[in-house]
Amino acid sequence: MNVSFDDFKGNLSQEEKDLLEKILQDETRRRRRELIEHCERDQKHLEIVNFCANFFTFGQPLEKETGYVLALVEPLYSIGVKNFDLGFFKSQNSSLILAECKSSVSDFSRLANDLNDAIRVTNERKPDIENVLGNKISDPIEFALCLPALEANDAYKQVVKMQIPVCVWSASQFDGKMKCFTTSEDTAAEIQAGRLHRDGNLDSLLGRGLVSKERAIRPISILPSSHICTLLVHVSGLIYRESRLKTKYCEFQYSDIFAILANELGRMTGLSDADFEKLATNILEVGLRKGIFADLNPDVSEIARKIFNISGRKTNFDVIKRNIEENYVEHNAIEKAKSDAIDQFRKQTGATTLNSFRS
Amino acid sequence: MAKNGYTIFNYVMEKGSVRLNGMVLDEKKNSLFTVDVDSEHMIVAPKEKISFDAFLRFFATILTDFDPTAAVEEVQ
Repeated sequence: MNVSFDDFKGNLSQEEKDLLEKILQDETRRRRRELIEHCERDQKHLEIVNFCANFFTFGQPLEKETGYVLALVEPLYSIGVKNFDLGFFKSQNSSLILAECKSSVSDFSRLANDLNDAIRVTNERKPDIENVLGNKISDPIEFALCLPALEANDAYKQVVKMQIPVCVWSASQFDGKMKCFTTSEDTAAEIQAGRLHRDGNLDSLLGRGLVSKERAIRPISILPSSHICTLLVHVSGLIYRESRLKTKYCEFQYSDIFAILANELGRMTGLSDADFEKLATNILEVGLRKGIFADLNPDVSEIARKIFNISGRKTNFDVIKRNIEENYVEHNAIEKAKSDAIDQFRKQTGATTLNSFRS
Repeated sequence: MAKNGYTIFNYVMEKGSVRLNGMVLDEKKNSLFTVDVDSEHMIVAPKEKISFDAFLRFFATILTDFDPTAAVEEVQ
C-alpha cells in the first residue's frame, strides 16, 4: 500500500520521527547528486551527438566527398522507439547509416545487447524510417556506434565477440577527430561483418580519421529524448528572449512552447503535430508541477487559452536558468527521497506496514 | 559573463581541463550562439542570423575579461 510521507511520519514516536528525518536528509542528498549527474550526462550526450552530426552537415568534407548527409534525428522516437540518434543518408544510392552516440559506457556487454535489439527493431521498422525520411532506403541499413576514443577499443572487442554489424566510430573531442576503429586488416571480412562501411570513400576517409573545425556548431540544440531539465532550460531561454521584446515580460502560451519545439526539432525528427503536442504538454505540466512556470489564468480551463509565466526572479536569464535547475533538482530529489526514506526506515527498523506503528 | 549580459546554458564543462561546449544567450544583442572552448581556441558559431557587432561585443568581452592577447580567425 502506498502511504504518504506525512501520514507515515504522523504515526511515529518522536525518536522514530528523528530517525526518519535523518534518513530523508541522506536520501535527499543522494537523490540530488543522482539528478545532477543525470542532467550532466544528458548534456554530454547532446555534445557527442552534435560532434558526430557536424561531420555530415552540408559543406563538410565528409558530405562533399561521400554524399552522406545528416538527414535524421531520433527517427523512431515518434513511434515510441528510442534507438538510434542520427541518420546519414546518401541520395545517390539511397543508402542509410544510423548512428548511436554514447558519451560514456559503463557496461559494454549491456551496450552490445541494446545495440542488437535496436538493430532488430530498426530492420523491422524500416518502412517507418522511410516514411520519416520521405525516401526509399536500400538494403542493408548500416549502423555505427560513436563513442569517446578511450572506449572504442573495448566497444570494438565486444562488437566482434557478439558479431554485431556495427562500425565503431572513435570520437576524440579534444582534437576534434573522428575515426572508424578496427584492429583487423581483413577489410573484406570486416565489411561483410558490418564493421566497416561498404562505401569505399567513406571507409577510407573515416579510416584515416577526419578533423572537424566546426565542432562548436550545434545543428541539434535539443533532442526529443533530451532530459526534461535540458528541455525546460532551452524552452525558457527562448521564451525569455522573445518576451524581452514585448511588454508582457516572460509570459507565454502553450502555442509558444509548441512553436519552439516544432522549430528546433521539426526538420529531421519526423515528429507529427500530435508528438509536439505531447512533448509541449509534458514540458508545461512538469514546469507547473515543479513551480518553474506559473498559471496566470487558473480559472480558464482550456490549455490553449491560458497564459503562463516563468516563476521566480527574472533579473537575467542566468538567474532564471539557475532557478529552473535548482527547482527541478530540489523538487524531484525531495519527492523521490520521501518514498525511498520510508523503505529505508522500514528496513532499518524491521517494520513492514503502517499498522506496525499503530499497535 | 553574466554581468556583461551573457548566459551560458545547456553546456558541458570538463573538470580539470579548459574545455567547454554550450549555448550562449546574449541579452544585450538578443542573439543566440554556440561556443566550443579548449586551451587553445574558442570557436563561436551563430545559431541563427546575428549581427556582426554581436560577435564584436563578445570578442571585446573575451579581450577584457579573459585573454587580452586573443585574436580572431575565420573558420573555413
